[in-house]
Amino acid sequence: MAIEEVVQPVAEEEVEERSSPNKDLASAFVIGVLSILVIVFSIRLDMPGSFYTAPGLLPFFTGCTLLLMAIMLGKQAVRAGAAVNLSELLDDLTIVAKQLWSAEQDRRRFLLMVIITFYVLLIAFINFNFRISTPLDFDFEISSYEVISVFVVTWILRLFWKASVRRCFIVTLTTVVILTSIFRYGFGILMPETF
Amino acid sequence: MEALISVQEQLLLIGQNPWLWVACLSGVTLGILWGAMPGLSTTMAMTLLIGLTVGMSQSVAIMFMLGVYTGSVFGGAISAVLINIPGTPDAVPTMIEGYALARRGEGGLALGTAISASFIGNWVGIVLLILFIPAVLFLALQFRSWEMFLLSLWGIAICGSMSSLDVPIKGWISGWIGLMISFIGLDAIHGVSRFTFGSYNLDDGIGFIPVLIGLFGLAEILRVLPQKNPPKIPSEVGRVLPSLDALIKYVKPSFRSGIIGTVIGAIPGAGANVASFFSYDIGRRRAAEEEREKWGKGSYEGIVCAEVANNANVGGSMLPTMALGIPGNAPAAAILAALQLKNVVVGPLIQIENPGLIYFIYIGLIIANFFMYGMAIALIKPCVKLFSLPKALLMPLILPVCVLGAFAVNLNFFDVYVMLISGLIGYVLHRFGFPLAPLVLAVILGPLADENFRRALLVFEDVGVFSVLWDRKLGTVLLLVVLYTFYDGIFRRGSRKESS
Repeated sequence: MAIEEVVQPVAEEEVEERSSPNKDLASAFVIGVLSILVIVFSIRLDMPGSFYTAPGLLPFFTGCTLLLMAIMLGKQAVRAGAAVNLSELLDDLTIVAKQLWSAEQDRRRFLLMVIITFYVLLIAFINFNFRISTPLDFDFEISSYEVISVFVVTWILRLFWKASVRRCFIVTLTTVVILTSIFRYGFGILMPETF
Repeated sequence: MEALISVQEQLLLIGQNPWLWVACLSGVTLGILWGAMPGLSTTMAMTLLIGLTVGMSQSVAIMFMLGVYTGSVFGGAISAVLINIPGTPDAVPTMIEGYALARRGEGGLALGTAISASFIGNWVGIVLLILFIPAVLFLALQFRSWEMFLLSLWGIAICGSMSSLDVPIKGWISGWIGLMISFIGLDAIHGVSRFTFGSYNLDDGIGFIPVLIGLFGLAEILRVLPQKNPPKIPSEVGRVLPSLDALIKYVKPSFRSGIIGTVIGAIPGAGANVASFFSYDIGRRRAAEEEREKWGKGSYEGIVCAEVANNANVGGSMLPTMALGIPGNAPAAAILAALQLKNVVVGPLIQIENPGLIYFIYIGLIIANFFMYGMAIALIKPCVKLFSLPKALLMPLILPVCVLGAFAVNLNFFDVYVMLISGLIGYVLHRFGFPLAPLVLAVILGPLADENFRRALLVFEDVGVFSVLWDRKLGTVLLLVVLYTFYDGIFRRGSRKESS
């Protein structure tokens, strides 16, 4: 079995996805713009003491070297066959974008990104906290974090795991209650909310 | 003598506190389970479980994290052997040999060999750590601002080169983006706001733990969850423990692989996967002809080479982490984060500011190693059951852990936003072929590099360049090493790639 084939689904920091020259050229352009912005902003920073301790000194050098790297990446990409004509490059990137959108896996991924963003925003903007007294001289707490997590993760499970809603709900509820109990009662940590 | 007294004190401390043993055992257990899950890396285990240490005391937290580290490095071998998917990238060589053995009905023995090799590898790493840390500490005290700046820069540069072997420039770009993120916030010398755009939340800077969780946790969910075709799981494991004769046969490759793993671990940025692949490759070249023919088709020696190296890497990566404050790899960066969370500043002054801590960590690693051996054997069968969980079920359940982990560090919801944005950016960077490890390392090392760079320039204000190069010999050596790293990445690899 080829290593490429088995490495693909691994969680890692080192295994890279194969890139194309056009993708590299587009990356080089974006990074180049970013580095120019950093250079401009670092020059505009205050300089309270000597030039040698200026707060913008290292950011300035970082921006300059990053710009150099972006140029080198762009050059490598062009050498490797990236489109040199801007309209050709845009056409290629549009085709790649269309292919991405037409792949079911990528549509599902985009949906997942939207749901996760929605999940974080819900936790940020909806805040409540209930205490349920128990006969054991112990108050069981339920916060907005648990409630939102249960509903959103159930939704994600329903979409990707494709089990029944009831099953997804029970699995999520059990996991979230165990997890939050460990954090809240075991380690005394407050649940996420905006204060 | 002083060292012996310190060791005795630490042993007494650990012996009297049962919570330390419980924390270590829990860490090892969680680490093995985490590492065994396909798609959940050691780094992810370390970063997400840091949140759990917030409420723990300093010593309990350190024992817990050492347990997680030791356990999760081995854990990657379980799924590699049983289902042909490495739980962690460094388990790929183990997978190549182990799965071939598992298909022949020797999966249990392959796993048992991996467990024993991991146990030996950890010992080699610990012994070399104990032997060499005094020398590294002595060297570390020679480091001043200029040297610290160059060391930080070299850490980021070498991490970029190692994690992006074909196109090192992409690794460096990733590192440089991390540096720019680290500049956000109040500057350490004058207190000037940099790149905050008026946001009070940004004045405190971007915490590296939310970045770490976003890049390795959330980005992983985004990458893996929408995939189709989850792996199939075998239900039978078979015999587990190898015979003593079999173990004695592999003493020589174990020793060699242990040294390789420790040395690679000590280089900032070079992780366990570099160690395991390198050791596996050298092992194949050095193996007897009869054994060499088995490589790739199911070789126990291959498993030994890979597992000893990636576990010895744990001890090795602790060397620069403890002595210089420069994490050897991403999981060691998480250990560093856990220590900082407990107000422990590691680095050249560790023996002065935290006397006895290094000995505590030695003993912690030894205890974690014994627990790892016991728990690995005990957990093999439950792990097989656990693998029946499809990724589509597992990954969504990790999402609340990511949110809690990011929030728990500072109890600040802004960190959750940072985690979310880091995750989205991390996924995009991954799609465009940029490695993520240099970015995280740079976010951690950036403030160190920035402050020391400006301090050094101030010190050198009235000194000539040649005087600096001549008087600061260690700095000059480091400068040459940094320049060589860039030269090697740009020219040598470029010419090698063209010729291939």
